Amino acid sequence: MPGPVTWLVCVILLVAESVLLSAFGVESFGLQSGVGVTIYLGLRREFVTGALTLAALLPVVEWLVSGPMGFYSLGLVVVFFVLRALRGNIQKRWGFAQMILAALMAFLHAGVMVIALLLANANSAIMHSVLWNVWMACVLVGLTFVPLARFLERGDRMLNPRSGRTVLEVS
Amino acid sequence: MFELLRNHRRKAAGLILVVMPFVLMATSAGASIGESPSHLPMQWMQRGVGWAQYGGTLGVGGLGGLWARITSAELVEENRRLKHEVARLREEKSRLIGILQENSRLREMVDLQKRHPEYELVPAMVIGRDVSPYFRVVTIKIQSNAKLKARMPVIAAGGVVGQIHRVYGEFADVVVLSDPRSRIDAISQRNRTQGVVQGLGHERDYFAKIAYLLQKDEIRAGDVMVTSGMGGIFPKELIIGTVTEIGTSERGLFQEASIEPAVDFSRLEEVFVIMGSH
Repeated sequence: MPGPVTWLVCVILLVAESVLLSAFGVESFGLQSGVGVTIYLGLRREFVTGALTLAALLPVVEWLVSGPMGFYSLGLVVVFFVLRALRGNIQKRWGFAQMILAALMAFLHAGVMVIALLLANANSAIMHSVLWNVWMACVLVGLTFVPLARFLERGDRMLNPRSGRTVLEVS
Repeated sequence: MFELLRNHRRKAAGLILVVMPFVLMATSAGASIGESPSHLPMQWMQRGVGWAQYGGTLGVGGLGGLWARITSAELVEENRRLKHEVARLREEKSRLIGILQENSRLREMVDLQKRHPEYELVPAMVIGRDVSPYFRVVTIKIQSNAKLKARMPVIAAGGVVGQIHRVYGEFADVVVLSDPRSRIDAISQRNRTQGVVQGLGHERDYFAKIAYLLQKDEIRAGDVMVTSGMGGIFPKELIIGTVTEIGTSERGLFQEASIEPAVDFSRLEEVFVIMGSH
């Protein structure tokens, strides 16, 4: 998918998550699709497209998270750069290994948030909340990441059937 | 200039990405509640997201009805007519229950307006929630042309909901009293013991704690805490919640207690914004 289309799809996913959480009234079950989308961009996009798409997504993510601005985004940016550095060592198929990876990235994201909050805006109640909820967040991101990634990859294939394929076409 | 950007586009994209969170941090209110309205283009984008949430909320309601119709079409052939009848009656019953519940909610809201004629109340609909597990924020859409401002108190029929954090047109983000950023000055209805209700952001989802309760103050489980009116945001005597547990701290100047909010935030559909007093 081109960058703007990816951005639009991600915004729709984030809004849908917000609406569904509202319909079911469960906030600690936030699926954090922002983290999932960042992992997908980090693994499946060329650096410039991924970085610009994520940069355009950050304000929307912040509005929908409604936390102290900037801290959630900072976590996502760190996750993106870490995945860029590691992507050569990560297998391509979406499976159990990717679930574990997503859970670890959710943990890293929360860790970066806590450190940034500690340095810039120490508020023990917020840090307490992040640390309390991080375990559930890791599990939920791990469980929901693979379907989310497969959905986004299906979107990629719809618009560009050869995307992600490395086998040369028979001429 | 464009040539330079083209040659260094990887560095430029990386820089934009790194700078973005810091720009967001620098232009916000930090961990305190109440942000000043953003610039017009940003406001329009935020309103776009708000309208999408509103559309989604209406759509989820519509999908519920569609699902009921699909399931009733899958009935076994020989019992089709009877099952269809049962399904119709069930649907009618559930619709009636829904109408009765809505009626009772609306009655409570009218009662609330009657109980507090001194306040100018504006009704609003809950259309979304924050997408992270770390905060407790609901997005509302007001049903009138009233002008919302940051830090306005929001209540429901049961009691206090929270206060407005960010406004974008007819939409606003409300920081619920169990959000870790929330602080509300409270007083016990029974013996006027004073404390501060602080959100936890965890522990059974919506629980909060009462801090700064003096050791000599006598507080018990079951005590109802109301707003004290100090702090200038919430008017006096609005119900916050009921004390559920007292912390047994042997040291320090203060004791702590857990509080269960009077409002069930997981089932919040309609709220009121207190615009001011008459």
